[in-house]
Amino acid sequence: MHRSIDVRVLRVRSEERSEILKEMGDYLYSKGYVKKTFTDAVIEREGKYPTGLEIPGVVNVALPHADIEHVKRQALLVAVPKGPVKFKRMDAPDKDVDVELIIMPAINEPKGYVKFLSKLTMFIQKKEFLELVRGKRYDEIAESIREECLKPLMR
Amino acid sequence: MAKPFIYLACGSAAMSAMLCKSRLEEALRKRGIKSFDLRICRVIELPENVRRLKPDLAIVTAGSYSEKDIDCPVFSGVPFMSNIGVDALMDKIIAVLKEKGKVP
Repeated sequence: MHRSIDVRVLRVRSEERSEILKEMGDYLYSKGYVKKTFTDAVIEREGKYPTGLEIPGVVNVALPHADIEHVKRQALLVAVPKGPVKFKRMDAPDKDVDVELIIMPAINEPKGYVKFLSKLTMFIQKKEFLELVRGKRYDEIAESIREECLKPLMR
Repeated sequence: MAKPFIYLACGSAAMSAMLCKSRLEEALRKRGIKSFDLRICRVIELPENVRRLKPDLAIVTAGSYSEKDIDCPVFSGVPFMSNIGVDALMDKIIAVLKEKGKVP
């Protein structure tokens, strides 16, 4: 990995998809990770290329993101909404999936990010991680992602 | 024997297609296929690329597309995203490659 990725967790208040995406995008903007254009770009992209991923019997997750030109510093923002949020499925954009975990990557170096994404997509299916999500243990969610998905790549 | 030639497409030709490419490489090697040509593009560019370059098949991980616009077998790359159902998808991919005489 060339540059590091900051892992952050946001306690979102909204319960609807676009509002949550706006809350998350605006948070990344307020922390200086992304340009002002990022939030709109994420919402627009989600409409065109939805990112809801159904992993039957394990977890339903969404990975909303925007193109790299909207990103200044790399971050991964995680949100666990109060209840299930309807996203469209990436493999079937006309179908809904009830998502309980939203992961918003703000990435500008996709090459270094693939290994991280590969680890992350495996790790979020693990029982010990899903217990943190379902228990809304926000600090531990961020820490576990850093430990299990980022640290191994830094060695 | 000519190399298997596969296109991977996602919304922005970055995140998910790259993950799928790395997992497909791994899965092909596991099945003893060491030489292949894997290319990435945006899903909107896929119909034209398929028409022009004639890959054996395409794997799509994002966005809506219409199969009739794409002149080769198309599979969903979601199993590569979740890493669940990779074997079943690989069986289908290998069957197409066999039919096209790209793998023994």
